[in-house]
Amino acid sequence: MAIDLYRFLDFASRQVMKAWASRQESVAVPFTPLTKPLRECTVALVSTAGVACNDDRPFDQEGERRNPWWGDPTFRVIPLGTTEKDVRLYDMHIDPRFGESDLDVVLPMRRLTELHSDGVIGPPAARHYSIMGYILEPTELVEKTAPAIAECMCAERVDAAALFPA
Amino acid sequence: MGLVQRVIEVSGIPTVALSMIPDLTRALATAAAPDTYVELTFEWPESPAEARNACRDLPEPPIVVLLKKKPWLLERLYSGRVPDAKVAG
Repeated sequence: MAIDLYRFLDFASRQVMKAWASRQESVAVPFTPLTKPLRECTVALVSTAGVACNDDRPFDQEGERRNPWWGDPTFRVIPLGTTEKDVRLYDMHIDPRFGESDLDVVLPMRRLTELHSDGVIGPPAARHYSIMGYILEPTELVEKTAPAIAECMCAERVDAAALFPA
Repeated sequence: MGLVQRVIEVSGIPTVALSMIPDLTRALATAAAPDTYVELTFEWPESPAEARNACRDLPEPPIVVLLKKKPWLLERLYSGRVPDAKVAG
């Protein structure tokens, strides 16, 4: 199937991303199949929109302004039931207005709850997660942040995760 | 996103990456092997050009501002040679 992953990017961004992708080593893709029916699975969400609750530490936009090669590699927990009134989006590479007027655009917890009500999935996880989408140097993201998110999910007995690139 | 997805998958939690929640269930239930693509019926309502132009009134990301000031750094971004945080900018 031919898929144009770069369809919505401008020319320069497309060229840069294609160049980065071409340098990626071809390695085995980890795959974990579902171990029970989806209607029994607790599902958690991960968004790259840089969502942080108003009462939580903001993502570091100032650090990125000082050093545009850097992106905040940390993550934030977004409790189930959080609405657009309770958060701000900090990713400076997306239009935050859509997510800040309807959080489901980037972190669809309400849709998840509806799917549970309809009997399609099990209960939504109590906690969901957000990271920044722009991180050129991913060492800390891969070695610290992602394992920490996975650990939280395992501790909460999450059965499946849906990731939403912003 | 893929880098994070890989780590979560390794920890024993099945994952999907997508942007439309109604399609979540079909993608999760259909993917039977790594690197599976599931063709969904959703069609984005805007053209790529319309989508890009819709956010023209927003401040440009810092890396774009920097590259406009110092266009010779684009080669560095293209080649993936990300400067050390201490000497960047």
